[in-house]
Amino acid sequence: MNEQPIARRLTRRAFLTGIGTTAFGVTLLAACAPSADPAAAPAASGGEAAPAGSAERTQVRAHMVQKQDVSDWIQMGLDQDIDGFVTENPDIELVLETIPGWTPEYIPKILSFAAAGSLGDLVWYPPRHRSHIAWGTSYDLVTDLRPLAEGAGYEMEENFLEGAITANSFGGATYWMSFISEPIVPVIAYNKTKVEEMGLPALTDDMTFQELADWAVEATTDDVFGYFPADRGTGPFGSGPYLRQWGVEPTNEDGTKATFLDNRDAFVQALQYDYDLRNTLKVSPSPAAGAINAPELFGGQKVLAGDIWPFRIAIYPNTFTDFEIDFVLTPVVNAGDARRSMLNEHVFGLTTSATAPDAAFKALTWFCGKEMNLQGLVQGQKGPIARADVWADERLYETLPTFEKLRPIMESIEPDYVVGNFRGVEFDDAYIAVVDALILGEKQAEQAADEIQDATQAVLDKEPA
Amino acid sequence: MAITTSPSLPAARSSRVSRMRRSEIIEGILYLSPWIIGFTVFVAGPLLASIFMSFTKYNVLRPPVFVGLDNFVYAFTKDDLFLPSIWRTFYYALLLVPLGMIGSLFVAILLNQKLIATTIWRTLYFLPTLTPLVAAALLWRWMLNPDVGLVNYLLAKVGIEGPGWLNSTTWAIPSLVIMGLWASVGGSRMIIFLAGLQDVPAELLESAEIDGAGTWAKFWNVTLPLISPTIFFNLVLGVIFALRTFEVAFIATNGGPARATWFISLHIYQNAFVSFDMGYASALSWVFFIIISGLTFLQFKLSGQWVFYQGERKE
Repeated sequence: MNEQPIARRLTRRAFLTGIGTTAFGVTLLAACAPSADPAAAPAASGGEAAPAGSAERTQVRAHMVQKQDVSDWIQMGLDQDIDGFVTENPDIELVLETIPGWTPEYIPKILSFAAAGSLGDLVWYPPRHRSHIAWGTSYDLVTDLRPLAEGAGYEMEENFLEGAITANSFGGATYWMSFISEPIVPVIAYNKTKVEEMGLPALTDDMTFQELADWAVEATTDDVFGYFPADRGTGPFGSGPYLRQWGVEPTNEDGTKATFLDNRDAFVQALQYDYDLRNTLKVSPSPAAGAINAPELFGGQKVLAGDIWPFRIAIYPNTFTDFEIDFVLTPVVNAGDARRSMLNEHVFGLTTSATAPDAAFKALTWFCGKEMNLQGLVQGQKGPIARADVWADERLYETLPTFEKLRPIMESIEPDYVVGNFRGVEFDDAYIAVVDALILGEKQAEQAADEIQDATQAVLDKEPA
Repeated sequence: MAITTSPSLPAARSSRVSRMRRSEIIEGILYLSPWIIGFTVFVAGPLLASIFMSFTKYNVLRPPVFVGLDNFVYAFTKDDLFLPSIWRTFYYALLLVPLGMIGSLFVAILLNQKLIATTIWRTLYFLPTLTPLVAAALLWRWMLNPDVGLVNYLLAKVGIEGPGWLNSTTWAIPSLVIMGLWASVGGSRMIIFLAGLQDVPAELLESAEIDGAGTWAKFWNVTLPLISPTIFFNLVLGVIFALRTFEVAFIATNGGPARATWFISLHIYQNAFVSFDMGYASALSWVFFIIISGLTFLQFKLSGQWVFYQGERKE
């Protein structure tokens, strides 16, 4: 008898059977496992400073995008125990459930959590065109914060600027709290060193668009573009304050009608200005299709001046150390015109499925509190917030003097316009498609104005998403 | 001598065989079970669900509402972006597939020569395939920048004013094709061609040579017919991959400028994951699936006229 082959055969069979059974068993176990244990989720908590006996602690699950100015900063806030949140709330275990990417990755996951009934207590959202109202309320994701605020003795109006409260409220209820709220692209950063070397005049806070264009013509050489709208981009969101400065409002109050042509001449002028920068004056690179990395162009000294978001005020001087940078307010149409603005917000809401709403509300007010946000600003970690007390604190201007220019804008900030059917991205895309063709010189301003009106109205006419 | 057996033996053997067979079947199913479960849960299930969803209005959070053929009717009658996105996708495939096939075959022929350091050449040609797509797309975006990009800089050095590349509605798709070719010419398609070329019997080429055939005649009359199954395989896969292209346009242009690279896959993605019109996105997906299936079927039907298999006798 030959025992060897039998032994080998049996071993192989046993091995294969083992693998098959294990795989089957593991799959079965995974399929039958209870829904995600929040405690086991990738988390960051303020656990280090908390006392033992964590079984007594109330867990608050906060969903947010994994990003420097959101999750990273909140984690730093926990680590630094800003405002003593960790030590003063030993009974709260704050769990940050972060999702890498941006809204295309984030939102489907949140909707999946909601559909599966496993949504946590707090949810972050980066609204555009106030779509957070529709997103949060029509899907019944978030709850009215007013009753909780009342119970906790928390005055919304004492904490947040009016524009932000308006933007976050609907039908008498306030669903969101501002975490980052800032004026959209209110400043121009320019390369002060090179401008002085070239013998050009410094830019000023009271420039008109015409003066900026004239300056850019002088500043443009074979190697350098004088001015680039940069962060303003080609969409109606980044260009919101620009359009308003010309007297153009994208939509009506309830976001059902596109209103670009209500002031058609002004709209055509605004479009013509953008056309001229690239095609007539040739002082700007063409940003169609997002093919330009504006900070790299600026840092590489290929562009002398460009529109920027407020968060870059802290970042640029630390990043580009080869030259000195100065900041001025974006232009107006005619000297002395009132300055128009538009609010950009990243917000947090308290979910309707929150299991510990009081503890969650406490965490929410800490996220959006004064010291947490002031420290975020002076430590260069996040954008500003629509809190009067933050804007009134001198520590902000000691670190970031440019923010003094933004203070009056923020104090009278105008809310974003509304896209009533929660199709803000489609609305923007429809606008951008036409503006792309305009700045590529393939359309004239008059034609573009009419096409934008038609294309955006077609989006608004769709059913709510 | 006749062999006699107990009458009960066949039945016992049959029963044992049957037991063994049953046990083998169970084992086989166990071995296959991870794949079966994975396929059912992650492929077949969503596939069937998407058929159902295509007849509904569904936004993830609310229950689907049956709307019959509304989604399909809307796509063909009211959606201004749908049909143009299909044509754009075909235009892209029409440029990419033939150029990619010719390029890969050309490189495979070069690498099939007895050159010095063949392995190094093969590795070098294969390297772009290993570059992460996101990194490659961002790099190409910079290189093709009309104002400060390397390509136009080099063209200017030889007196040519470069086009707008990704910034031009005319050049955006050809730019994506260039990026696609860079990433794919030396990739798996080239390796398959190389395998096909190495499978061409040397005696046939020698016979042709003895009969006086030159290099071109040998290639055209011997090599090409013999590698036609490989060409067909690469063609079918190439067309499918080109038509479902997404990443490069999503990263490099996001469908722009002025929707010049708004492919059908981007349109489906936008409807599904930005607007959460899951029902409509499912309908678009099925329409596109039928188009691709039809095209593949046509390729198979036509293949009988130009694909030759070794040993096959044609009347």
